[in-house]
Amino acid sequence: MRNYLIHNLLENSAIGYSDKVAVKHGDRIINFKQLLDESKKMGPLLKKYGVKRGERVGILLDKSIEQIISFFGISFADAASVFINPVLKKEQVEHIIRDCDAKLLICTKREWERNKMDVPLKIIYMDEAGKEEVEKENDVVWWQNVRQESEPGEVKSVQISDDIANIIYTSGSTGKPKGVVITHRNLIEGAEIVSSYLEITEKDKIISILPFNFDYGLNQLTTSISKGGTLVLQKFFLANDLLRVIEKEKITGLAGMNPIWVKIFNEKFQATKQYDFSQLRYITNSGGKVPESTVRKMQAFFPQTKIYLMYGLTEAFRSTFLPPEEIDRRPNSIGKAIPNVEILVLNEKGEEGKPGEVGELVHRGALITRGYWNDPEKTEKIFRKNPLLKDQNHLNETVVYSGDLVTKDEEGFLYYVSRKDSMIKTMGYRVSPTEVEESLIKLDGVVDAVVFGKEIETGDQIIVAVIQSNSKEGDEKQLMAQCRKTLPEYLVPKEFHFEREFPKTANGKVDRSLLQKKWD
Amino acid sequence: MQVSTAEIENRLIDYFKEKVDTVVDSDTLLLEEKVIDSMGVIELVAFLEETYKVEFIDDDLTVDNFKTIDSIVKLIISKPR
Repeated sequence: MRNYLIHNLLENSAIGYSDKVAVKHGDRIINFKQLLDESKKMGPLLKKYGVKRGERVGILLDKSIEQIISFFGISFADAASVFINPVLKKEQVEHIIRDCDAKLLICTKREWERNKMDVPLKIIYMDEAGKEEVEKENDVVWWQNVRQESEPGEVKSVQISDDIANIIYTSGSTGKPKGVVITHRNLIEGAEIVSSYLEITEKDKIISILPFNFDYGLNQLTTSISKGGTLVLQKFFLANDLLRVIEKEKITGLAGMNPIWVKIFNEKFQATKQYDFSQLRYITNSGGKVPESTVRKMQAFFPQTKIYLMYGLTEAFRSTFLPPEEIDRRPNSIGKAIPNVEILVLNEKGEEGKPGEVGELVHRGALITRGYWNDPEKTEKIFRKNPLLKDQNHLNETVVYSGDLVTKDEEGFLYYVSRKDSMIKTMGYRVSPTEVEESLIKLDGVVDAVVFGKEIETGDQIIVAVIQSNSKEGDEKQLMAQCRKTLPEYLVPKEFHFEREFPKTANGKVDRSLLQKKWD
Repeated sequence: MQVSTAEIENRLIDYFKEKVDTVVDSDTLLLEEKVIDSMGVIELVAFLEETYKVEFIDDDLTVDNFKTIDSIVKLIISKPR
C-alpha cells in the first residue's frame, strides 16, 4: 500500500520486517509487528477516550519506546501529536498545551506531578499500572492496564496526506514558542527524500539522541521506520557514553549538531582510547553551521565515515545538503537543494542574486509546512507567495522565507552567511557573526564562541564576543592580540566575556538570545 | 586535601541548592530528576576538580558516575589526591 499517512509507514514496514527490531532503548527492544500492535491499541483507546479527528494530543515523555507508540497511535486515531520536551519548565509546558488546545496528554505519573496545571485535560499514564484501566474521578487512564487487557484494534482512518500529523514547538529558554504545523505529507516526503540522499536501508542502525520535538530528530524516527532500520534511543549526556554506544551497538548513522561536536572534541575531555567506528556509515549535521576547523576534526576522528553537512528550517523541514565527496573542497558549504526542492537566493530587490551576492535563502517545493498554529501574522511573514511568478501571480504558490543570508558560488553551492537580523553594522562594514565566531574558535583555549553586535552612544555597533573556555578566567588582552594577527580591525571584537559552558535551548542548540541578553 | 565523604556530600547538596535551586539528597537520581543536564555537568566537573584538587580522565565521565551524589562522592574518593 502507498504511504499517505504516517502510520502507513509502520504498517508497510511491519509487513516486510515484522520480526526485525524497530526500536531499541538500553536493554528494551520492540520489533515492527509489536510496535504496530501497540500503536493499534493506542489508537482505539484514544478514540474510546473521546479524542476527535484533528484534535491535538500532547506527548510529554523522555526518550522512550512509549513516545513512538504514542506517535503512531495518535495517527491511527486521526489526531495530531505534539511532542513536549520534558526538560521544559512547567510554565512552558502549560503554554504549549494551551496554545494548541490539547485535549489529552500522554505522560508519566511523575511528569504530571511535576507539571500539574489547571487545564481540562484527559491523562494517560504510560509508566505504571493502576487499580483499573480508567479512573473516572481523575480522568486518568493507565496504559499498562490497557495494553495487557486489549487486542490491537482495526482502525479505519478518514484522514488524508493534507491533514495535520504533528505540531512542532521548538523554543529558547525564554519566550513563547510557536507551533509549526506539519502534515502527513510533510513527514512522509521528508522520510523519503532524506532516505534517498543518505542511502538509508533496512541494514541501518540509527542512533537517536535528538529530541522528537525537533524536526531534525523527528525525521530520524520516520526515516528509520519507513526503511525498516533499527532506531537506537539514547539520552545524550556525556561524549564518552555516546561514543561507547556507537561502537558497541555498531551504529551506522549519527545525526548531530555543533554543540555535540563541541562536546566530543573538547580538548579537556579528549577521548584517549581508539574507538572502532568502522560500522559508522554516515554522520549528518544540521541545526547550525559547523566551523571549518570542527569539520576537519570530524574528518580526523571519524575517518571511515561519510559526513553530510545540511541546512534546514523547521518551517520547511530540510533544504540543502552537501554531498560528502565535496567536503574536502568545500567544508564551509551547506551544499545544494535536496531532491524535489528548489532554493532561491533573493537580494534586497527580491530578484535572484548573482554568484557571490548575499541574499536571503528562500525554499520552494517539497516539505513546506502549513504555517504557525495560532499565529496568522507570523505565518504571513514567513510563508509568502513565490515572488518569481511575474505576470501570472494570481496563481497560488507558497514559498518559505528563511530569514537566513547565504551566497551561491559559480557552481551553485551555497554558503551560510548569517541570520538576516544578526548582521552587525560596525565601523562602516556589515559583519557576519559567523565569520568572527569561526576565527575565534580556531584560537587556543576557545571551545566555542557566540558573537553579536552591541549598540554604543554613537549609534554604531561594536562586536561583542562570548567565549566558552575551560580555563578559569579568560585573557581578554591576549585574545584581542591573537585576533589582530589574523583579522582586520573591523572584525576584532571590542568586548570579551567568558563562560564555562553555554546555556542550551531545549533542543540542545546554544541559546544565543539568552547569552546576548546577559552580556548586552 | 583530606575530606570526609559526609563533607563532600554536604558540599554537593549545597551546590545544587545554589546552582539549580533544588533540594536533593545523596540518593536523588540527578539526571532523571533533571537536577543536572548535559549543560550543567561540565560546570560541575570543573567545580569538583577545583574544590577537591582531582583530575578527571575521560573514562570517569560516564552517566553512571554522575547518577547520584553518592556515586559522585565515590568517584572523588577513588581519585589520587
